[in-house]
Amino acid sequence: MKTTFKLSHLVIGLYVLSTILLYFLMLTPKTPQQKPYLFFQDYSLTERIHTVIISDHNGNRSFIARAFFNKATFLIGNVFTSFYRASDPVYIFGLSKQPYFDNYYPSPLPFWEFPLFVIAGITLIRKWKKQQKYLLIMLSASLLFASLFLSNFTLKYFPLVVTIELITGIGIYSFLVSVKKLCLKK
Amino acid sequence: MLKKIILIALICIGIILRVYQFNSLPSGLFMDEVNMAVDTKTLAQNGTDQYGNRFPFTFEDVTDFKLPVYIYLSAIMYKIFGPHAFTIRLVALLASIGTIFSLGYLTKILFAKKKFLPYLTMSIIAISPFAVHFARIAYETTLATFFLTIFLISLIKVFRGQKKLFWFILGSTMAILSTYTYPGPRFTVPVFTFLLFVISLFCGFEKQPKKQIIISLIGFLIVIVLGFIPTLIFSSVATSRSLKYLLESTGGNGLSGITTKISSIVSSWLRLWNFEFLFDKGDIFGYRSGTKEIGIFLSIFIIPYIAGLFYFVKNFKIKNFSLLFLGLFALVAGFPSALTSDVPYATRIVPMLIPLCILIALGIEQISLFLSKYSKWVQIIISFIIGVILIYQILLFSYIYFVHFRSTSQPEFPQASVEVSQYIKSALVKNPQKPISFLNDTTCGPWTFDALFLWYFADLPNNQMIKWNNVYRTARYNAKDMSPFDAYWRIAIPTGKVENITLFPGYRKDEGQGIFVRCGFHLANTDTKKEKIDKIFYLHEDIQTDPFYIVSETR
Repeated sequence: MKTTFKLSHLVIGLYVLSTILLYFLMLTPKTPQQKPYLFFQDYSLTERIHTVIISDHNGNRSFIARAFFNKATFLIGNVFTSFYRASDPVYIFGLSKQPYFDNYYPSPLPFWEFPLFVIAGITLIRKWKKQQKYLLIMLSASLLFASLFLSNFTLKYFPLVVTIELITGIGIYSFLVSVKKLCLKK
Repeated sequence: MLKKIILIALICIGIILRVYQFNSLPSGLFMDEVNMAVDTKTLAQNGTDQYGNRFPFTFEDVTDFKLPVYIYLSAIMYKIFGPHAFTIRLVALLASIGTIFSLGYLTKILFAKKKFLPYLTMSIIAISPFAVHFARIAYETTLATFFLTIFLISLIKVFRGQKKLFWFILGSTMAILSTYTYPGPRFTVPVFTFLLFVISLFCGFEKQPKKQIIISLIGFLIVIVLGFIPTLIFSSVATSRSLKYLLESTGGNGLSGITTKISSIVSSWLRLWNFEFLFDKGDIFGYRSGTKEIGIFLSIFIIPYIAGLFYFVKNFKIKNFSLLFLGLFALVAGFPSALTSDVPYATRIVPMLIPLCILIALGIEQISLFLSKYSKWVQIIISFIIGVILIYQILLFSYIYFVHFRSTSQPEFPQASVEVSQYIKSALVKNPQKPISFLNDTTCGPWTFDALFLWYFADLPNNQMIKWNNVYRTARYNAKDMSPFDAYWRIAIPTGKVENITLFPGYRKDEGQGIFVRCGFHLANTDTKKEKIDKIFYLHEDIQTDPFYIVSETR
């Protein structure tokens, strides 16, 4: 049992390290535009403000409009937009070349890792252990970190990439162990 | 009891959001709607479509083909109410309200032990901005989704051997009606039933006799297959046009084309579950798909959505019929959009509301179970915070829809087109002898077809319009280097005469006296020495910007 524990750590560790190296390789800046920016970089913001201007011109209504559309709500909206994008597997794993809500930047992870991540995620959820809550905390924290930036600053995904690789490593290992057990049973 | 009251109140709010200002928001009709409106008018008055074909099986319009059920039902509404914007939208409204209750019942029979789940599902769909929007516009997909929910209910009832004959007849009817209402169910209904049949061969559901399940599924499959026969006989052109979307490659030839198409299907299907799409922006393709300012659901539902997905993944087993049914339907219902578009296409994903609402409801139930472990005060405080956020978001959506959307939707739902048609109608009534020239180089915008508005809202006689419309149809089919379904806003209209209205290609008509109606971009071409401008209809009437039509009279 002890040996298995050490072996699992070694396998998962190697997997995470090698994929993180790949991450750095994939994210070599290709254009000089990749600079870190903080809030208010959402392209839709201009459109939203324009809508507010053309629709909320009526003086009597303007104070109601202020309750819904102000700097604070735009800021919160931006953080959420960034969160949504960070948690989009189509972007993270580069599953489509077609942009949807925004121009797409180099994806942090290769597409072939997506099925591995799905299998790993499903395995971990189905065999939920209390210790896994740390993975959940890590995932939430790295998503929060990525949410505080809204730009093509791809390094913001670094903690998320580490977490995803860790989840994939642990999950796939656990999946392979259960497959092995199933084969031995038969 | 309190929970029940709150959920019923949310359902009532959802119904109010659907009904409030129903006749005036969106204020004009979208291109597809006005096409259907004209077809309902000719169908109700003459028993023909807009080209004069008697009781057609598919309706060809200016931009596409339409399946018959929605238009035939709307023709009944036209008989009762006449030419109004709400007439064409009434069927969608009733179907949307009906779906709230049918979805509740579907949840009830699917998860019989979960007492509050039906109420939760009903309240989620009731206040879904996407469902509210599609209740207020005449899109057949809303009606098809209603039929789909009844079909799913019938399927479960027949499985369980409850009033088998009744539910089989009802389910079969609904399956066929849904496939003749909107193209999406033509994929969803047979594929879902077939996959359920394949699974039933290997494992039993809910301890029901396997034979009973297999026989009932074979029965449904036979009816569904037979239901396709009329399509093969009567509407091959329309069907091949629908299939064109399906077979369209997203780039590349040969193997690379196939790879790109597969990757496009996978990514498009996955995007249906995207947080930004579901809880922030919705479909941003056009204003007919939503407001672009709010998602499919209010963003507060993101937490139960994640919890619902967790619950589903954790508890899914092939023998757990409820979750299998839900998962399989969620898988299949996303494909009509994924197969035909790189990104979620609003009208094709309306049936996805069924599994998504149930998933969110399951998530809410799990969260409340989790919270029940904590003290009452913690529960009260969290419920209060959630309540405040929910009320804020409902108010925000109401503001976006009833204030912003009134302006932002104008290019696609132009009120000016309705008003100018009504203006012409009153001019006709006041002075039937005065000639009116409807001058149109091309139409006023890519999503309007001016003559259709005129025909419907000015209530012009069908026979003369049908004659002119056929000439115009031929011109569209003869247009070089473009599809006849894109040509309407790029080619000039043919000359025609309907009562004392002259439909004239171009923006100047020097001979003759009377009233001239021009598109807004010809304002500069109005010779004010010879003509007096009577009225300008603006796209944004309240701030008088973007002139859409100019009505002038010879001095």
